[in-house]
Amino acid sequence: MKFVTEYRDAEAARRLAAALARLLTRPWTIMEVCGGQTHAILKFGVDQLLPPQLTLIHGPGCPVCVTPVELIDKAIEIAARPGVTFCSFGDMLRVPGTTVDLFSAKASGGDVRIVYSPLDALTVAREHPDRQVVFFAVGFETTAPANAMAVYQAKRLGLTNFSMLVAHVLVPPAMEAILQAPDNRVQGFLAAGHVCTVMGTTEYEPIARRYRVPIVVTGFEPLDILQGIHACVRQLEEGRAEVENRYARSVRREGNRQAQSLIRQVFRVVPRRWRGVGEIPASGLGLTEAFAAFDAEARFGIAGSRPEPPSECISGEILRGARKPPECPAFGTRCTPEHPLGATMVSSEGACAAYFRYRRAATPAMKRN
Amino acid sequence: MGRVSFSGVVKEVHLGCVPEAGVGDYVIVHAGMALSVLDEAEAAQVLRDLEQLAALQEPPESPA
Repeated sequence: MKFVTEYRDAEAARRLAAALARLLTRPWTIMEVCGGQTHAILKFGVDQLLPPQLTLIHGPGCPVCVTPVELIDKAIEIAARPGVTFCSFGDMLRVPGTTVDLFSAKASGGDVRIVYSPLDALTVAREHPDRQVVFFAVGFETTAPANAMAVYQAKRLGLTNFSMLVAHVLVPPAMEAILQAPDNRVQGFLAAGHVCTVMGTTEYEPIARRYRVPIVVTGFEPLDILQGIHACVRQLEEGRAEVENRYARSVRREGNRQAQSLIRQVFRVVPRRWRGVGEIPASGLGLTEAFAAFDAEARFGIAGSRPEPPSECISGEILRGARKPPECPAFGTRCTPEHPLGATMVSSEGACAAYFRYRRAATPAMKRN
Repeated sequence: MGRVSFSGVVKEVHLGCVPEAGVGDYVIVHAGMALSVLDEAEAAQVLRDLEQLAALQEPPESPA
């Protein structure tokens, strides 16, 4: 396929990895923020091409993974109500809440449906005026335009049977939280190409300056990722800490202004609790006053915070890059994609799911079996 | 709305955020919403940069 195949050329990747090895004079640690990049790195074996002094650690960029248990529990509670049709992206259904998951809610008779887009949930609401249709709005800045458009259209159409359970999160505050952690090892970032497609790159400039870290906006194909790593290492070796755009075929410095204006109309910045990490100030999106009528938490009277239940799952450390999935004693044994302890094993962007799928044979937990 | 082919699978996609998109363009789509029109010149430039990078024996003095 055009614009995909040519970025997967194995020979070009090997030459690029060799160029990278020549550039390197000492060890460096780089974090790829986006879960989509984590999966591409493991799927194509990009990490295995890298010189051993270069460590890649996997970041918090999996929206399903960082959604707190309290919101999963609220989703399950809403989905179980009579007259409700609960719509969600597929990954959310297997994520464990305190006791059950959304699949269990469906099995118990709840009308839970998987949709590809929030706009599909809006169509369900238009076609079923007798049902209260709720969409589970999970995502980073990349998903915000679609979610904002769904709410915007619901208001324009005067729909009273559509609402959203909003679990939106933002990337830059999470990067700052990682950099401020006492055990932080990250020296450079690969920033998420599709988040930047929407938001542009300017909000990363103060972070690069304040923490002296290079931030390279990177795409999702193997050659994109290798090129992002190369640019990041070159900055580190030269003592620079700048925002550099290596995904210019999609990302413009100012981002997508139409999308940003839509997001600003519908959403406002709010504090958000991240699963396994805790509350990060100004790190999420909630509905603005003008669209507050579409807030499912208010509509179903379940607003408010609940304590995070204790769990064997170490996804908080995984999401901060403090540990890798195979270091978890439950990995591949008590925790698998079919019976996950936490969201990082469920999502198509979760680091544990990526290791389970692409590296199972190489991990100690599985060798024991 | 517009029709977008994903390797042959055609889906309806919202084009409200990419008013510049035309028939035959390549777009980045997320959750049913087109987010950008691919810049074909930039796409080709990356591949040329990569060739140069890999051909060099020494790291260059300044960023490309």
